[in-house]
Amino acid sequence: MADLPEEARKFIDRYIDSLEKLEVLLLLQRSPERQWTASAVASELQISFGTADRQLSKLCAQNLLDVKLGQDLFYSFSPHLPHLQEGARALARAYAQQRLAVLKRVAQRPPEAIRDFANAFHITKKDDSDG
Amino acid sequence: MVEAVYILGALISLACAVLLLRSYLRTRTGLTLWSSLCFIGLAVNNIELLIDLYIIGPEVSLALLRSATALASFALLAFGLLWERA
Repeated sequence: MADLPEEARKFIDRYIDSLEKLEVLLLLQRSPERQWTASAVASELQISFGTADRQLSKLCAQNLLDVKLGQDLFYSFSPHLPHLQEGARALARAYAQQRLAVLKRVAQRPPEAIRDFANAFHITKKDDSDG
Repeated sequence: MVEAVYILGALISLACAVLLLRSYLRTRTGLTLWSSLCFIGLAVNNIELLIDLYIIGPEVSLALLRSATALASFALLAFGLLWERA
């Protein structure tokens, strides 16, 4: 299996910590003009509402999505910084060409909850400009 | 000297709670919220211990309250772990 391009690999390591998040991001990226609610994402990807809602909130906090408040929360793909746009594009390209390698890379990461628990005790501030 | 250990225990528990709560606000991961609540309970437990031993004296015992607080704290952590597993 060929290695993933560096840009896609770095983007996964920095932003994509679960397969659900990967699928949610790619779904919104495929139709950047569409506004998505958590229930629409859940229904499209056949995942629970809670999972969709949580992943959308996280992607939004990482400046990858825009959110608008109406009768519901409406999310759309809109990376706020050029390197996020480029990273997401590299990920989508890698997913189209090397799907198994992308899935393997994401699946090999430690469970999200454990990682968040450990990261809570990192007192030194990381670069938060991109989430 | 012994009281310094209890004070330190309370302060460290509180610091852990703050760090975990801060992480929860950023990541919305359930485990960090439940762990944070557990550490708040442990901080309260240490404060209760100080009050019990050094403030209210031997005529009143807070042993039951302290045990209940510790039990509740670890119950919250256990709930968080089970919630995450589900």
